[in-house]
Formats: sequence, C-alpha cells, structure tokens
Amino acid sequence: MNLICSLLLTVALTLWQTAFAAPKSVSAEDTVNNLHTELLLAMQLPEKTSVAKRIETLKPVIEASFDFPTIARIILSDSWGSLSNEQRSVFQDTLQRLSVATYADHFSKFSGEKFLVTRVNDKKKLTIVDTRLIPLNGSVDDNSISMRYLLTRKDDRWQIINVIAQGVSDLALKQAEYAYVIKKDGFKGLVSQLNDKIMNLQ
Amino acid sequence: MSLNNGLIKGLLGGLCLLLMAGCASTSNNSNGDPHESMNRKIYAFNDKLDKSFVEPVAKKYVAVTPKVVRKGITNFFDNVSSLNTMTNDLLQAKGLDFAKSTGRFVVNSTIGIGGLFDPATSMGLVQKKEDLGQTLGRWGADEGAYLTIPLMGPSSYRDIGSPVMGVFTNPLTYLAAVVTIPASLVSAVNTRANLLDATRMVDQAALDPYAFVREAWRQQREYVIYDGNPPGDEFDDYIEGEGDAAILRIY
Repeated sequence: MNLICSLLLTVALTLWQTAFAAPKSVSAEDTVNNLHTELLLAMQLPEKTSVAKRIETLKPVIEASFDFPTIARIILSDSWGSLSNEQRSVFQDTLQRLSVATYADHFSKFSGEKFLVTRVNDKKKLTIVDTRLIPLNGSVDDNSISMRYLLTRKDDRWQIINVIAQGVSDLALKQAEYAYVIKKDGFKGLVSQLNDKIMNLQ
Repeated sequence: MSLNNGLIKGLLGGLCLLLMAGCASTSNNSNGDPHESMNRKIYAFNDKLDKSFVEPVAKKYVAVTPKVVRKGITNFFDNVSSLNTMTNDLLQAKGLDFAKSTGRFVVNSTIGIGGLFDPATSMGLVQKKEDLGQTLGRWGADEGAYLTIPLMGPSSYRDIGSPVMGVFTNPLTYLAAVVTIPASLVSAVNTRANLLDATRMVDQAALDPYAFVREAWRQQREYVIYDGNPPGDEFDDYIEGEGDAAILRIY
C-alpha cells in the first residue's frame, strides 16, 4: 500500500512540475543561434519571394530576439528625457519595423553561407557573443565577417541590444545619425524619414 | 623620378600642409569632428562628383568587365600595395605579419603571374592590409579630428599621411607617366566598383550619410588598428540606465 502511495505521489509531483514549472531559460548563445537559423532559412527562400513575405517570415524572430525598448532608449539617449511616452512608443515601433525590413532586405540571397559562434563572454546582465558569417569555401580567417552581438538579460531570456559588424556598431551609427536629424528636423522629421526608409525597403 | 610622379607627390604634400594648417584652427566639438561644417561641404562636393561621374563609370565598368577580370585587377593592385603593408608591418614591429606579407607578395608575384592571381590565400597567407595611420594608432596616436578629404573621403589627423605613404611605397609610382596615369585611373575605377555594394547600403540605410560614413569609418579604423580585437569588450556588467554610455563603447 505504501509503495502504491509513493508511486502515485511521485507521478502526481512529476505531473505538477511539468505543468507549472518555469519555462526553460534561453541563453544568450541560444538567442543568437536561433536568430541565425531563421536568417539562413529566410535567405534560402525562393529568390522571387516577395519582400512582404520575407518580412512576415522574419518578424517573429526579430521581435523576440531584440530588446527594442532598450535599443530605442540608447539610440535617442540625448533627447529621450524630453520625449513623451507616446513619442517613445512611436519611435520604438518605427525602429522595430525598420529593423525587420532591413533584415528582410539584407538577408535575401543564399550562397552557401554559414554562421559560427566563436566566443561567449558572459556577465550577469550583459553578454557578448562573437560570431562569424562565413561564405562558401571561406574560413574564420579568410573572408569571413565578424558579427558581435551584445545581449542583456530580461528575466529568463537574453535579448540583443547591439550588433557590431566588422567593428562597426549599429547602435553608435544610429545614435550619431539620429541625433543630427532630430537637431535639424525635430522628432517628427526623424520618424517621417525613418518611415520613408521603411517604405523604400518594402 | 618622372615629372608626373613629382607632381603627384607635390600635390599630396601640398594637400597635407593645407589640411594641417586648417587643423591648427580647431573649435571645440563634442563628437570629435571640429571641422564638421567644412567636412560636410567637402562630403557634399565628393558625393555630387561621385553620383554624377565616378559611380556611373564604375557601374559601366562592372557591366562590361567580366568578374574574373575585375578580380584579377583587384589582385594586381592589392599585390603592388603589399610593400606599403610590409613597411608598416615592420614599423609596428609585427615580425610574423611581415614574414607573411612578404611571403604573400613573393608567391603572388611569381606563381600568381605578377599578382593577377592570389594563390597565397589558399596557402594560408591571407591578406591583411596595414598603413601609416594604423602604425601611428598602434603606437598610441589618437585619431585627432575627423577630416573629409576632397576626392578621397574620410580621414583624420592621424590618418592623413596614409595615402601619401601609399604612393611612395607603390612601385607603379616610379614608372613612366604613360604607365602610371592609366594604371591609377584603372585602380581608382576598380576600387570604386568594389565599393558599389557598400555605397548602395549607405544610400539605402542612412538618414544622414555624412554622420553614417564618419562613424562607420572611425569604428572600422579602430577595429583594424587592433587587428579585429579592439579592447572594447573589457566591460563591467550592465547597470540599466547607467550603463548606456558604456554599452556604446563596446565594439
């Protein structure tokens, strides 16, 4: 009887743990690898695939992989304090759409490329994942492109806040550019010009 | 030395002096670009010249020249610029890199038929360019102010001498003008053709192309000065709100 009770208790506990356990945490390397997998799949879509379809394909993984609230705040750090919550939200949404459209445009052809994670430098809240984009017949040392990802931790998952390609930081580029545009044309001008870019990419 | 070579070197020297004189009257500027106003005007001039003349020529060149021929031309000019890399390898006390660059030059000049082919890469002697600006950076020279050079593009106080040294260390400089001038033109058009994808990306992505090119160039220079391992990843952990400036220093 005791044995049956123990067995039943064990089964009940297992079922409870399965049902209510916290979701598996996603490491920084997992986030980057997952993004790369989806990018490679998008690159291998038939060449005639429409931009809209490419955007639809990549949207979920990009939205899940990047920490857009933090990215938006860092890019507009000079004027962030003077923006209303609505303006911040508009900018974040625009930035998100621009990122998806840019990835859809840049990763639209496949010639046998592969991604390789070469190093992970992790801290409690910030991790660097170094990767290489290696062309067909290339190697890490020859002809590959360095892609460094910076990720921050939000709860149990890591999200990208910056991509540094061959030493060129996307965040720093956008910060320098957008600061000039805001100074010249104001916040509305910035959003309008970003929307024009998105339209051109589509 | 031919009259043509003397003229080229004189012009380059004069350009340096002119820019250095301009650099003497700098104003404070938080983005390291005290000559931004002048730079933007030169950038606009360069861009107009490029869009109306140089880029169309480069596109035409790509259209009529088979890829394999363009690759051979790129290989040839890369090979003749090897002496610049070798000299700067020595100046940076990079003995192994000097040996590799020299080996690469010898292999490509002989087996590679005067540099038209690049068998050295498949032997593990991968191309790694060095110039005077990288040498100065390696020994601790700061970038100084950012500059846009007429007809050439991005540079800085530290890097202004790089093209001058590139001319002096290029064997083609010491040939007759009848060879040097057409070779320089082919080299320029070929270089521009190799940059068509990059400029397409700038046109497509940049809201402010001047700032985009300036920041990308600066970061890329840091990257090559540190041979692809800039010290930016020596970071402390991220503190939300307080760590944003530090985040931007990681590259």
